[in-house]
Amino acid sequence: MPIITYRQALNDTLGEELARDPNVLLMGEEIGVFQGSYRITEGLLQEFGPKRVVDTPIAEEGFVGVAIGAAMLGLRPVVEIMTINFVLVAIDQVVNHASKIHYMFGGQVRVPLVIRTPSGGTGQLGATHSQSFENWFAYCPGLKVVAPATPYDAKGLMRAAIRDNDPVIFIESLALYDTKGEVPEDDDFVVPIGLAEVKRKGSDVTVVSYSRMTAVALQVAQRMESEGISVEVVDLRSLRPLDRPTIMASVKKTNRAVVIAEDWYSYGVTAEIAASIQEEAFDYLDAPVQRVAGIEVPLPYAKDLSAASKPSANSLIYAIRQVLKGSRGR
Amino acid sequence: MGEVTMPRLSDTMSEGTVGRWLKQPGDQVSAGDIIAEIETDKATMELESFESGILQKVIIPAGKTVPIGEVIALIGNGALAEPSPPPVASPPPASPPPTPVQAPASVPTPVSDDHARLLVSPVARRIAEELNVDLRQVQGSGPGGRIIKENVEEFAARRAPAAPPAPVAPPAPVAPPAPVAPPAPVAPPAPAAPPAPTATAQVAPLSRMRKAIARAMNESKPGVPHIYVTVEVSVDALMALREQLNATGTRISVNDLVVKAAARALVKVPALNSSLTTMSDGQLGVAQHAAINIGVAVSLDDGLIAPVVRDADKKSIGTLSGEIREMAARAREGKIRQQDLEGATFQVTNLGMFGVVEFGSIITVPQAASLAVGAVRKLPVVRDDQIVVGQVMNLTLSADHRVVDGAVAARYLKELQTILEAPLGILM
Repeated sequence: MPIITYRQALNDTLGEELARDPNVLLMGEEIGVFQGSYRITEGLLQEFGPKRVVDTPIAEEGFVGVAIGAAMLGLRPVVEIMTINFVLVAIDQVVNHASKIHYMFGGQVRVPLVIRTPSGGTGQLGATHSQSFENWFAYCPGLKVVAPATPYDAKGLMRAAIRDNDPVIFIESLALYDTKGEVPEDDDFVVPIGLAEVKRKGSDVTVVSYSRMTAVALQVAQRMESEGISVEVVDLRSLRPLDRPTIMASVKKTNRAVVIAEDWYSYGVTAEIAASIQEEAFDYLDAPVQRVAGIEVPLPYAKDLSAASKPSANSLIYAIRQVLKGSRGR
Repeated sequence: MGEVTMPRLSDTMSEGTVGRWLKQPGDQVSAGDIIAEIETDKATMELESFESGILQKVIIPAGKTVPIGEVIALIGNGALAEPSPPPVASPPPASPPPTPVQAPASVPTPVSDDHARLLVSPVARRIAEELNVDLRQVQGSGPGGRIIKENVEEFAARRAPAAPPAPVAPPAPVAPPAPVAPPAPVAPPAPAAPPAPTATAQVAPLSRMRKAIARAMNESKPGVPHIYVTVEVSVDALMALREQLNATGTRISVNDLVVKAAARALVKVPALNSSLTTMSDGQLGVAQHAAINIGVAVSLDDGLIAPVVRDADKKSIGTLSGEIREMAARAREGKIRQQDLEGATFQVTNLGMFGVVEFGSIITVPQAASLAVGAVRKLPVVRDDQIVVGQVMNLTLSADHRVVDGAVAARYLKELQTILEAPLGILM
């Protein structure tokens, strides 16, 4: 399999889907002439023209609404929101319309819409441009939320999202765009929405993560192996639907779990996973589930404070040591 | 609603411990039903209910001790039946906020002796049920002493082979311990951690091997598993020295000299000047005492006490002898002060005056060792291949085998023997 970047995997997939299905179109700010703020849509305007790759005004509520209407009439819009922070402007369209139309119109109309947007905070973008809101959407029935961590999953899940008949929030990460990995060339390859994956096998502790935190978890797992600590990494890939069986199978094997996510601690993704584990795997736990999440502050601009506010390899290692306390003489 | 009170089950009973509850909140109870087991100062007895109804509430959880007459449970008609809260003594500690790791506190915190609510992880509880393991016998290695899965599995694995238990620790003396039987959590009664005897230089966790030995010893000898090592000391020089000293008008006893020598030998072998303790994380540890304080057993008409000579290694023989004499006199008059009895790190006990040749003494918790001194006897001894009359004394060291092995005890006695056989050093 060729090794390409996460960005390239997305760009390839968008191009292939535009070519495969004439109903697919892209919309968003600066995605055409400017080639995309993060160059995910590079070259696509030239290849498919302005009817298929549509530059929009800076008016998220308006163009998300337009995309929902287009989807209701049979098109398959893929909307880029520059960062997840700006989707707040369109949240009524997403939560009150896109997610509920299929239900409220008695199943007559579907909304095959993809909203792709990077989430999380790296690189001193300030408190209003560094947030993680995927849990807000994962909270809402009627939406699907996916958050790939690798180029492989980015491609497979983007295909699945575009071909899905329901609205899908597709979470990306600025820090992942340049990461590389193997991606199959097979045209029919998809990663089904709603399936987690064990990205690394281990026996001492399960780390549950998604998106950028999966990359962190895999690094940590590698580092801890030299200490004789065997970490299993479960990459959620989808937040809604949530693949609880894969999480539970792993926790039942290791008896210990650490959940890491970039969003804030209270009411965040880690809370949902930890609650699910105690509901479904209580009798298999050897220690309380540990959670690693963002410190509950508006993200500071200062570099060191910003780093200290986000979960990191070090905070994950600390949590793993906590959850392993008392086992095998630790 | 009927109150169940702690009954008076024996004449001397002033308080009782709820051993375990045989009925749980919400259970139907008929008059005459045994609802709990009560441990008194003498025995464990069954508690019959005088009433019929629903056990509404357990007020005193298992493991707790209360005075007679105190309400320990409520029996009613069920109207107030609570959704059977488990008889929890205290809620499990909330998980601490993720603060940076702290060094183990230097002052050992005793683990709660409240067994009402064993700390057990869910998976450990489930596996214990499957393997039919009594969790009360399992020593937990998790935070706060929580019993975790591997503790149960090790316990069960160790119990499983009905074969004779593997030789556990070497018999007594010299050889260093051969690889010990599989580390196996038995339930050593958690070492009591009474007030630390003295300034403690440091507390170190037990090594894995030491832990295994501690458990194995406790399995054989619950409480403090003693090991006894005896040495014969030639005391011709010691008796001559004493004669010279006393010729100056002082009254130094053989025991005074042994106490001083014992303290000096502890400087050489500090491992015996220590205590087994439970560290703040619930793990067993050894507290190494900075000061050498010798408890000197004094026999009374109706018992025995051991006044403490502090810093015995640093005091002159005259000072030490005077202190012992003065405290023994006050003890016999019943005027000993509590502080004179506290803080010993090692004990010396002597039955030589009764002609006892040798004996094994019982270690006083939390000390790690006790020295038993026998009589000075004249015996035919071989010296330079000649049989001559020599004076000898047998010394027996009792050591806590969880803390040290026979080899350390032997090394200590060797040091002590060297000091006593060339005794001028005692005067320095």
